[in-house]
Amino acid sequence: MTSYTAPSGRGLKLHTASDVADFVAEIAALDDLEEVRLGGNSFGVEAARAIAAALKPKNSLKVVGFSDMFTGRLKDEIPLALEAFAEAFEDKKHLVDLDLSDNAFGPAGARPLMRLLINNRHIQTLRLNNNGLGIEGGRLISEALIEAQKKNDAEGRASALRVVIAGRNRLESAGAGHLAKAFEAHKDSLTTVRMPQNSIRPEGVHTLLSSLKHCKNLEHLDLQDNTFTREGSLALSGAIPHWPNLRVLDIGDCLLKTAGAGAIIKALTPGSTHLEFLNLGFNEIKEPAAALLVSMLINKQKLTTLQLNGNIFDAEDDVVASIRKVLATHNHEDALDELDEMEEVDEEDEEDADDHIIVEHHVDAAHEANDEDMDELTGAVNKLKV
Amino acid sequence: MADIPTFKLVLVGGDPAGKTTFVKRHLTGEFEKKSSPTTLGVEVHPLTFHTNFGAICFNTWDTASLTIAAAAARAAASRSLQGQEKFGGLRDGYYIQGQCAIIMFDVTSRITYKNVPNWHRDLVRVCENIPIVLCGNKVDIKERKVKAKAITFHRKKNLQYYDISAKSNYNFEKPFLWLARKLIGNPNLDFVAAPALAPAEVTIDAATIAQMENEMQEASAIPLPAEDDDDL
Amino acid sequence: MSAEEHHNAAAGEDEVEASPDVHFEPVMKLEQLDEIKTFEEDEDTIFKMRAKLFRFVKGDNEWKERGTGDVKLLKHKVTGKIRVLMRRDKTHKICANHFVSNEMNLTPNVGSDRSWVYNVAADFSEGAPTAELLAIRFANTENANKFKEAFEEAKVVNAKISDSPSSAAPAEPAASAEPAAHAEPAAHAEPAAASAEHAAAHTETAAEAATEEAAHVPEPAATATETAALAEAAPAETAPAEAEHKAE
Repeated sequence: MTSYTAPSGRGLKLHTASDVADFVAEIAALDDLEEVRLGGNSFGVEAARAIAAALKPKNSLKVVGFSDMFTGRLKDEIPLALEAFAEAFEDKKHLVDLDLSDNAFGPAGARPLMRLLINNRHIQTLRLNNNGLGIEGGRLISEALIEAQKKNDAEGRASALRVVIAGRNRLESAGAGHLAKAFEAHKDSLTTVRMPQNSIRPEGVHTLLSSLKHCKNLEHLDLQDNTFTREGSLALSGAIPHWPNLRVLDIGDCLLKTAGAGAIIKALTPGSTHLEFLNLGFNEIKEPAAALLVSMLINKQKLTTLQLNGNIFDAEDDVVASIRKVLATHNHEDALDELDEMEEVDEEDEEDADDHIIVEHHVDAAHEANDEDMDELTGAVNKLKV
Repeated sequence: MADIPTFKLVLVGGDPAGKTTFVKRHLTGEFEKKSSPTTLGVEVHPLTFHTNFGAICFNTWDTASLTIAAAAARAAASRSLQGQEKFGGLRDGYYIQGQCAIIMFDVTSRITYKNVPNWHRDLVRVCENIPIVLCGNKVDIKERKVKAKAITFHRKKNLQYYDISAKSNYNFEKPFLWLARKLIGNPNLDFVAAPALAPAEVTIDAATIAQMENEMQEASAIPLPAEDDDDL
Repeated sequence: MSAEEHHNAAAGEDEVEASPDVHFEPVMKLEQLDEIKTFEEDEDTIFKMRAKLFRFVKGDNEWKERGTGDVKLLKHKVTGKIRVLMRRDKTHKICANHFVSNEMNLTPNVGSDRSWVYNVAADFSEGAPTAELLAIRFANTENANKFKEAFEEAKVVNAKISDSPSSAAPAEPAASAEPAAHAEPAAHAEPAAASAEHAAAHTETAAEAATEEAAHVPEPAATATETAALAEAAPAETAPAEAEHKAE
């Protein structure tokens, strides 16, 4: 693959066209350029326009790696630079991978990208990690993706969009709700959705999963460090059966608690046999939910990573031994992470309903807080382990 | 204003920890509910406080955590390449001559707490032995992930710690109060009433009044932020 | 301080382990002021109540919070003119500082029975005058109405003063005080600024500061009626004459 990578690591400040004259000449000299990476330098408007002009005739472009290229640039500079790039890339029929991560452009930067996302419907992988998009940015990106799919539909074309990465973007519940609609529009093609650390709260997780449920080809879901609680967890457990190809589920730091984790593990138990990676770390999960993992793991022969660290049960607990035993039967005894940050079970901690497994739907709430019932339940779980 | 004692305060922390929201709360009183876009570049805000030792000012440097993190990564890369200390220009300017600092994280995001040691290491590499406050923001949110007992970093590195909420104003003045006391070396410093000089008489013409009246009619049709007024 | 530290409603659980007390070499030495001038010394508090203030930001077309604290109506002992003064809790920064004037009409805000919207041609919270569109919200309708009543009375009082030719002169010093606004903080840092003539005012200030403290320190649960009671009590303490006037 003919590739051009600007020298990075020097943090060059490039303002004018003459500042980037070398880059431009080098790019111009590369026929059949397929990959361009400019990250690590800071481009002003004029410099960006010169680069864009050089890239404009490169119809063979497949991969655009434009992460971290506006450090120290002002609010009004970045949109203009992005506009130039959007114009240069919108007709590139081979462009499949666009990376704009680690550029703090915010909603103002999302607007010029709309044109690119609407007009270039070849992009398969959209990387918008850490852009400070916010709710408004999420709305704009979503609007563009929905518009793109309308055009696809009108042309009888299938969506090309497979991977959307939008972690650390301050999307919050509302922004996640906006993007949910875009995911639903591209439901047949999407395989990967990564939106960690976005301050999405239970109601937003719920909305998001109500849409993602329709993405039947979903293989990779990363919602790490958002807030699920019971509401989000139940939404996820309802969606899991719709994803037969699920390989990666990263829901660490999501405050699933015992009730939520229990529901999710149960949902993963009957199928989900392609699961390779499951992160349930730092979720305030107590032993009763962890116990459910034992039977869940029986048909998870491909599982090579299971993260449970930072939960509330003893690393020496029998349950942990049972989990290791099942993993060993799949020759993946190393799958379980080191349980070195487990929280101690504090008898004085006030318990709430979320600290217990949700016993199917007919059980009344009063039962859940009752210790005797818990013993009964644990007994039932133990039987399940066989 | 030029005469009042002024200190450079460096504000760092994970994104979004609520740094800009916190600064704005002090600057204008507002609480920006909408997540404001990531700070671009550096913004320096003078925050003045009236104390029983006179007025003091914190020139508060708020920057895009992203920008600074990226610069740090590059600096690290260039160090490993060249085997010597060489800081990126922006990062240097940001920390240099910082007299005090606030490191902020979000108690609803464990990742932001995990990043605290990185911010601290970066900070003290340039600013040795300055008073630093560690703040866990957003304690108003019910679903707290970084529990009180899990917060221990301040003890290892001799930082002051406060749970704060830019939303509810819980402890929101404490970081500045503690820093002010350390900077002047007197634990008796307190915030006092700002001098309220008599307003001047202003006469306005009828046209202006009419225009203001119109604006008011429009604005009164826009509801106030509906927050619970527990503090009223 | 420790009282508040323990009142950790938000965190709601165990305390974070105490921070170590470490000595830092002070960056500069400052002298403690002998007196704290609030510049309210020549005024009486004729009304005081907890409120939340907002200002309208045209660019964003929305209301933004400006501060929470006690809103006060202060009447000048000599000129009789009444101003609105409001400081934020805890930092005591000023968020409203303007005369009450006739063209200010307290208008209800849509959907709220405890808020008033009004225009200020020149607010001096930041020193330099700015035109502000403000909204002030109270704990309940009753408090909002009490404020309106007092505000309307103040409008009448101020209108009379500006109408009477004899009062034109006393109004002048206030106007000329404006340029001083910029120089003031420097003077404030100078203990020498303390002058004997204000001595009487200081004791009053201290008393008032005490009432203010009392208003801030109690648990936020302090009910509206309690604060209302405080509002009634304050004038009696600082200015019996005014309290009577209000009772009329």
